[in-house]
Amino acid sequence: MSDREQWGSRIGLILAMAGNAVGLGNFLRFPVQAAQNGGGAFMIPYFVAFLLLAVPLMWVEWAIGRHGGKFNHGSLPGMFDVLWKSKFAKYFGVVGLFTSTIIVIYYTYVESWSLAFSFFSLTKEYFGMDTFASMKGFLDSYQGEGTEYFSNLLPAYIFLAITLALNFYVLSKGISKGIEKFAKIAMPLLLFFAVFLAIYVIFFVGTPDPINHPERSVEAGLAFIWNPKWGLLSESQIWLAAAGQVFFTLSVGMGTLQAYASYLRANNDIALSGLATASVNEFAEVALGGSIAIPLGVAVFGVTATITAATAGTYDLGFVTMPVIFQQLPLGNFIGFIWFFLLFFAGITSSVAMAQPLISFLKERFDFNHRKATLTIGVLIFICVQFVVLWGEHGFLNEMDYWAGTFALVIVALMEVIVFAWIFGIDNAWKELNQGSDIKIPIIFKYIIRYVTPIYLIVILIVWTYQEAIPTFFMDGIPEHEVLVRWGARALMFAIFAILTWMVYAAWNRKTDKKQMER
Amino acid sequence: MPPGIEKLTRNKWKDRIMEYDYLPYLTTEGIIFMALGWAFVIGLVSFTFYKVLKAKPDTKNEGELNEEAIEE
Repeated sequence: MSDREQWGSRIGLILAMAGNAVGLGNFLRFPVQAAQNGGGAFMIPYFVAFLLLAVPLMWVEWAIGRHGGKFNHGSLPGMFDVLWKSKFAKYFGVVGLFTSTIIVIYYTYVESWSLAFSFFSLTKEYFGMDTFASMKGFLDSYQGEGTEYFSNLLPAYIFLAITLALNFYVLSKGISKGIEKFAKIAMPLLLFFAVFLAIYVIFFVGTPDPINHPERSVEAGLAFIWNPKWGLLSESQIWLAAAGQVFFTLSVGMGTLQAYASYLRANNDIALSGLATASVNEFAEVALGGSIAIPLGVAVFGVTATITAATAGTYDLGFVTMPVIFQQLPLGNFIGFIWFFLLFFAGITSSVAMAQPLISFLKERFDFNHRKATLTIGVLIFICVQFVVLWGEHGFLNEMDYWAGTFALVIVALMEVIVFAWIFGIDNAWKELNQGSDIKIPIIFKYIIRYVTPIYLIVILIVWTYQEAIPTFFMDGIPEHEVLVRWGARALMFAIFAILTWMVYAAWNRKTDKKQMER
Repeated sequence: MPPGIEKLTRNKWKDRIMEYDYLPYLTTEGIIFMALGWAFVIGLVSFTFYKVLKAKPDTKNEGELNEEAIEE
């Protein structure tokens, strides 16, 4: 056993893992998906996918991580290398390093919007912009499109700098003194804010305009999400949407869960801790996420306008629709502050996790000390995020989000379940999963992990390739002025992927590492 | 959950979802689904945290296995 850092407490680990999973999607994407795909009936395929796809994948990633940690590996190239005795294994793991690195680049920028808007809520900066169009103009102006409200990008850079500084301050303190300590503060606060907002919406908003719009109420919003539309349940698309939602909600396929799990001791439980992490995420998503944005939107603007707003995209729902709603509420600036600060906490607990695999990689494979590794990643992100700040609105951000933040995740998840259950072997995998476990994992999961989860992922990958990846690759429906910018995003991603691949090659050819690998 | 938030919420669902008549109140079925959904997640989080808090931290010996589960 090496002298790697360790988690200080089990609760700290679970909160850090849950912080990684809980994000914007819990509060914005889930209610939209539920309402879109059958309302209450969506919960049937959702919980089926949760049990057959999400929970098994979560356990697989924890197990791969803890196993890799025994060999001093905190990132996927090394973890694959010890599971699969092939000289190519480590190169498959590069995709895992790539996804988290690319996502953290654009996600820190999105995170900084939340911080900025929580400040703008308190100061009532956007109050007075009470239409979607004017609020969209405010957001665009903040992002550098137009000078109506902000004359330059200075405010965006100030909040980005604060966000990056906070991220790297937490990361610089290491696992137990940084990430764990922060999670123990941020996660209870996040949940407190979310519970506060859910209680506020359900019990205090009611029907804001009972004379002119008696049909616009919080109950109508809850009905929009939960009343079952049975006719949709027979459509395969609904089952696929449910699988997609549970897949994304737990942040699998990014290499972050594995990185965190690599700091466990060999005999630490992963079965119960993994399930506890998933349960916190599901609570935040189903009970809290379904009770805030959409019910509030329906209560203030009605179903049709809420659907239109949600269709414009998750970012627009969060940063355009919600601020307009807050202006209609008593103490709206305070409620807005709570909402955006909630999103900020949800974001930062995820972004620190996304930077961790690369930090571990630099420390373990290139002998960087912690300070140097954190500083290197900080500089890398600061340089790369410039492209997102300057061209994010022109498709740069969406292009990165699609290829690294959506499509590549399914590929990573499929690779790891095949490597773990088929190449490492299901008997070894089952033994690894149960080592030190505090709960007995039902034996049926042995077969689910081996057969059902990979098949589920293959189906998702095939359908998404056909429905989304091919049209996205050929830029179907993309405005002419975005094409060059999107190719720029692809060039940056390709360059980062190539550099990571070279680094893996170089790391395994270093003399010190060769000795270790031959061990 | 950071990724995928933009693209996959943009699926072309608006026309289909607009076809439905939305009742301004929760039906009995809606209440049941909402109650079951909440009960499931609250039950799961309560169960797991009860077990976590009940389990003694870090008392296992290195390499100790859940033999019962493995033998199955």
